[in-house]
Amino acid sequence: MDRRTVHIVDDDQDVADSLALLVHSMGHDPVVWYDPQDFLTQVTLGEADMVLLDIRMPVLSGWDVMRALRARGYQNDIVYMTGHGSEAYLHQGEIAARANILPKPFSSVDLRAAITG
Amino acid sequence: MPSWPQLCWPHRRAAPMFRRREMDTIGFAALPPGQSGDAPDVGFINRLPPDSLTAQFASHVRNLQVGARRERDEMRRALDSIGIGFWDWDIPSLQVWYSSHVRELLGYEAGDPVWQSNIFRGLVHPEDLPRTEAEQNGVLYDGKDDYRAEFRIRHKNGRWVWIEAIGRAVVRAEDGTTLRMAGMFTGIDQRKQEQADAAFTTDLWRAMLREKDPEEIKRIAVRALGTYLGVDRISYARLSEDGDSLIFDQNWTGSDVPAFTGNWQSSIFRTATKLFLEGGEVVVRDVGTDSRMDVPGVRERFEQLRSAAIIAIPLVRDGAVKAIFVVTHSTPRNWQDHEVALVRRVASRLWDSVLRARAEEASRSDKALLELASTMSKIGARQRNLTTGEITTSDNFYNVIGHPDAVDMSAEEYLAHVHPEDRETLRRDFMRPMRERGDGVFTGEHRIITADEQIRHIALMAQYHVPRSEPGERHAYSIAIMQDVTEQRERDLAAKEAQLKLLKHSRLSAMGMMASTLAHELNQPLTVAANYLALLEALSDSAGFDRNHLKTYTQRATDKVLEAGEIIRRIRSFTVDGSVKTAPLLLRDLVYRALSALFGSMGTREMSIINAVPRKMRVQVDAVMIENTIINIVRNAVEALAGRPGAQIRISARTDGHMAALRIADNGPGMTDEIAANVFSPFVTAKANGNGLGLPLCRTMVEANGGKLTLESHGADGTAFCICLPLADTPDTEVGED
Repeated sequence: MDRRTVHIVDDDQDVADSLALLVHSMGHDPVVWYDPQDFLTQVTLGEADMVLLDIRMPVLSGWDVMRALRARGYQNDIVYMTGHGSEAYLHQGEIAARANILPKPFSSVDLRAAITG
Repeated sequence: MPSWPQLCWPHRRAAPMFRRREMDTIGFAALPPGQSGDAPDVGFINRLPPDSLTAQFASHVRNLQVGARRERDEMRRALDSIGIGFWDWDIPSLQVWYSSHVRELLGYEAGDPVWQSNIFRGLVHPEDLPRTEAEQNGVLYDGKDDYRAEFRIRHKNGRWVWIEAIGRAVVRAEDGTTLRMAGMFTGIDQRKQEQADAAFTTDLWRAMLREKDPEEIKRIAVRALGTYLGVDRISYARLSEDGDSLIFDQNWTGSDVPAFTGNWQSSIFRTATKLFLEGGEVVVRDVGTDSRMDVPGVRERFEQLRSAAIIAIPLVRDGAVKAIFVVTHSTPRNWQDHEVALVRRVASRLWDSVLRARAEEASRSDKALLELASTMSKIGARQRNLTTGEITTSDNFYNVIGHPDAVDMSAEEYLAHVHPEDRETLRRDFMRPMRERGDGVFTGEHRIITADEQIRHIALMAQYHVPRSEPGERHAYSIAIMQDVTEQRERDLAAKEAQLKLLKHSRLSAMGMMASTLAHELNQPLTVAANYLALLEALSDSAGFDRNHLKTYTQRATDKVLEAGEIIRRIRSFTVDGSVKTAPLLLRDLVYRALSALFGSMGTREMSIINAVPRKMRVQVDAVMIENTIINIVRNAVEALAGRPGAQIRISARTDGHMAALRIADNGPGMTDEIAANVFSPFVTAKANGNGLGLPLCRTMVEANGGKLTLESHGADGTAFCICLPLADTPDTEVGED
């Protein structure tokens, strides 16, 4: 299994921290971002890097972040996390067909599948 | 047409020629003693007032009867000079002698060949001739002493002159045939004109009385008068509100002259207007020469409108001119006095009629309005004499109670139509206030079954009344005012249903909103718990199994599961049955407990938090809901302030009517207008760090407590929320703990 760098973007620090531990236990390298603004201004994504992105965040939503990344030409895998399933459907047209949506809470099996694609 | 001599004075008796000759020879001297000596009976002439012209004249006639031919001629000369229209007719010779006054009356000279009775007869108006001759024949043949007739005679200039003739037989033959008549002509044109004017006005008044519409009355009057007088134009103008101009709004024209129209307001017209308004009655016979027209523009104005002769009558009300009535003619006209008088009479009567019609119109419209109002508001009235049982109802009464065909419905009959459930109550209560207090008023509502078997709600107000002028039971009566209030009742019912529906709906939507908020708020801690549990699972397989990690991760997962449980518990009472359990609580305590809960779980931060809520202020609220609302808002503030120097949260409260206004203000960065606008919208919550309830849920809960949650300010000075809560009615009641 390839070791990947996984950027976790979630303003809920408890969620982000626990997720980082889990991702790490799965043999990947988690990078935690509590503020999507910081993530966008500071991150440099490697080709194999992927993003675990929370959808509902203040100021910048997951969708805003996704659009900014695409605008910069990043084609990395993005896994969207949502606490409310219907949110994903609202933006179905915008996200790639192969995009992964993880409804919270999710099992480790689903998370592993999302990371390894 | 037969020639005159054959037709002249048709004799009913045979009139042989010899008799005529005989008369000629007899002459006046041959009068029988009985007819010439004593003072004769002069019939009606004697019955006239002694000072009248006719009575004076009577003595001359007497003299003629007795005088000789010479005397007669002297008498004629005398009569000729005193200006009386005297005539003396020698019947057999057809010769009539007229005094000069008659000649003046008819415009003839002494030499004109009209002084024979047969020729004179030809001058009488054909319509008047038979009647006149019938009168005359009474004296000529039937032995009557005198006659009187009114007829028209053609003046030498062609026009007709009205004459009143009185005549008397002065010489009779032995067989009674009249040989000579004498009498008097009086010109009665003026009297005839007055009679005609009177007949005209009588007809006109009648026509005007029949008409109700003021405009139509004006039309009738100007048309009739114009035609009668033979003038070119009659106009009616009212004075403008400012009193400075005349507005012509009614015109009749008898020829092609232009009408007086519009508003006589310009400077030129004003001069003309002034003439009308200040001069009282204006009678102008010839605009071209009248000195009153010597004002620049005025004569030109009237000439331009082809008005050469004018009669203007001001119409006055309350001492001020309100309108004028103007008669004009296109050629100069020597207005006769009777014409001016007639115009004045018509104008004044028209004015009276217009004012009366207006008053009637106003009163009619008032009455119509009243009827409309009682119909629209579905009010009917009924009065009943309590002794005689006599009933009077308003027009609308039976329509109101839904029995439009009923007549004289008695109280018992009425009760029979009342809804069975209301009948006994009405019967029992209706008379009670009247019996108890004498002049009591009953008010109530009952249902009535209408003729078409519908149910109608009737509001009833009834009063027992004894006329002050006639005290005593005998004259007492009851008045009942009834109003159909069915629509109001149905509306009330519908409103109540709608309210219930709305309540249900709002609770459903509140629950729906909470459900979506809850889903998110619950999923957060559950996600964290699931992550730790998954981590534990993974660690249990690994070689380097650290018991400390086990304990830490288990603890965190448990905390998050409990947190989720807490969220559910906090809103349970609201979501399960929608009920809110309120108690009178000290607001300061609620704030204190919220702050303790908050900082007990989050630890201390570098900021000052001030609880400035007054100690004795009590609110009637659900403790769990309001505590959680406070926690949520304070937590948001704390997060907004994190890391800022001099950070401060100030919580204060004041009373505002029956409400307590709790204010939670921070000196943080505030928020953008967009966020502020959506701060209470679901899915757009300014996300807290952890497990709090969202602001939409806070608002729902505050509102469930009868309060209001608002964002008071969000500028650069910080954010302030206001939680308005109902004050407790009994501030001293002990706080009941949950």
